[in-house]
Amino acid sequence: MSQLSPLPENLQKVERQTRQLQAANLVGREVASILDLNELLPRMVDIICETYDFYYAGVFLLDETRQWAVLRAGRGQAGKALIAEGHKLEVGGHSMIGWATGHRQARIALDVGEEAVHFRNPHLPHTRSEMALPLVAGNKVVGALTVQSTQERAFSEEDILTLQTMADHLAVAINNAYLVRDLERANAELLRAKTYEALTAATTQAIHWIGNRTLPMTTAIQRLKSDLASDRPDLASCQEDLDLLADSVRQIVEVKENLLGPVREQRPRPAMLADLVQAAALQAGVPAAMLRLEIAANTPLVLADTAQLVRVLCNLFRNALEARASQIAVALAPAPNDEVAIHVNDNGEGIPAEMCDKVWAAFVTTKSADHSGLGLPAALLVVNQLHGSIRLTSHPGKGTSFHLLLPAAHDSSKLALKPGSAPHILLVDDDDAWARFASLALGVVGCTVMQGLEFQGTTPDQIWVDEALEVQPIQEVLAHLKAAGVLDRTIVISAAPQVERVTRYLQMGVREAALKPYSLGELGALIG
Amino acid sequence: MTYRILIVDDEPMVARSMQKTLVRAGYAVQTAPSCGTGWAVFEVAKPAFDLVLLDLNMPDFEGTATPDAGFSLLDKVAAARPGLPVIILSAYDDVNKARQAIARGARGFCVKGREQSLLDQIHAILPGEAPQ
Repeated sequence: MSQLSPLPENLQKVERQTRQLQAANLVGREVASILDLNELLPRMVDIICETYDFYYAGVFLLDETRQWAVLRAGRGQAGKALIAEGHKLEVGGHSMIGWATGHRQARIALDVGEEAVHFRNPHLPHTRSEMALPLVAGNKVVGALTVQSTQERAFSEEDILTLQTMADHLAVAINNAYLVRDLERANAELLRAKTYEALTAATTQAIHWIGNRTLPMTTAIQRLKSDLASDRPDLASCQEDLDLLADSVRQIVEVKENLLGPVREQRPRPAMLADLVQAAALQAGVPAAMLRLEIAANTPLVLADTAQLVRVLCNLFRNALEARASQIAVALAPAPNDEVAIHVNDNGEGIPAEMCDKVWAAFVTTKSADHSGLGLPAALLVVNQLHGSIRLTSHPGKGTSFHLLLPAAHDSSKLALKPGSAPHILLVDDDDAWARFASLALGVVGCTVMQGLEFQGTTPDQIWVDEALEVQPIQEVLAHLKAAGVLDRTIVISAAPQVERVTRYLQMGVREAALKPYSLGELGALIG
Repeated sequence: MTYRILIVDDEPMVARSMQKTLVRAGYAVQTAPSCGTGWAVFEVAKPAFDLVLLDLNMPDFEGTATPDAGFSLLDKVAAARPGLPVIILSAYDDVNKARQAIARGARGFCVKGREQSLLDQIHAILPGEAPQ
């Protein structure tokens, strides 16, 4: 009378089946979520060995010749040693893995001592049972799975079934990883081809462009020499030739300006986009009434070389003006992946569809031949250097939109003043976001901040003048401060300082012409 | 009286072109192609120069082409003749270099290719009727 026995054995069996089902689920999840084989394969051998309590498991993948199965993951020290040795077995060769991959069938040895094709591995001396399962995706063998036990007859029918299921999942995952790799390679190749094509096109365009600029110069010079040698020079022709020379030179200088531009700041820094938009609008000559700026809530700072980013925005604004836009709308908003989105939309003439991809190439322009066609390529170069992206959409007759994404910046710096120093600062700026940021931050650390151009009573210790002032031209402001005898306490701050302007301010006698601070640390550094 | 200007620039065409422009404007102009030669010419000049135009990127005092060699010459000129107007004329559009130049005593900083205002600056520094 033992109807209830053998309960412990049944219980063990149920527990084992449960573990196997759980392992199968886990394998299913892992293969769906991990595309990196360097991560997936070791994980698989660990799951298998832990679930089945096997001595060893390993995954072989066929190499590119498809003649060898190369070990890519192996359990424990034996696995590490084998991989370090570059362990591989010939497909169709004298081993269980060789047989399984050659025949596309599982090979099971319940006693390896009696197995004809068993490969005696010196790193795995205790193997008594071994199973080799081919990994087949579609009709292609991609590799094989080996599992080994120190027990003879270690594999039950259920074990074989569940392991085969895991192997099938793994084969699909491996195939997917290969497909992704092939796609990435094809993409890279396409990119290289397109880049080469673009460079060739750009070089051809450059040669074409330079040739068209130098010919008028050389022929004009010849004519001028001839005229000078003549008794009766054609003065009207001389004047025209000089105009041709001047125009060619102007265009060559424009190329240099766009290709090199101002020397880059040392390193990108957190910056207030709205402020850069205003600075760019001022530089490009966009009337205030023409610009509409919308800033979404929680728009973070961007990480940028501010002088270069102002150049980019300036180029986009100039494009809009040249396209006869009557309105430019700029929208700033947070974007996924810790980025900031900038949309610059104009209602100008638009860009023909066939030109939309080409305008990013140097020397390609939709405007007249005296334009260098370098504004947008320069913008693309700068945005790429800032690890951002830019693209455009356009509807001829309706307008053009530029869409930029730039990395967000998070200011973790602190505003620390020297002990006992909390200067009185006069801020000469429009009532904008930056002025509010600076006033608040400086006030918190004990500085007295006043805004405006006039000061009553105590002379401020420092006067900060925003170069991109809308309410009054900066030259008038500086003249006023000079008359008040405080120019030597004045610092002109700019998002995009320019050599000629900085030199002029310094020559006038300002204390400093500095980069506009957008972080607490930079505010503190400016105070000194 | 004719104002005398020294141009130190290692690019012969740049030096010659600026010389032509300044001579037409009525100045007496000498050129030198490096810091070493420029300093030698500056030291012995009689009468002394009234203004110096300096390139930045040129051979230094050891004859090695160096990006900021002109600053070394600026320092020597400023030490020898404090207050003598010196204008830097550089190809590089670099705000930091402009700041450095002013801080080291230069009167101005011009970017080559945008030097159209240079003559006006010189006229403002060396005032008077167009010298003969």
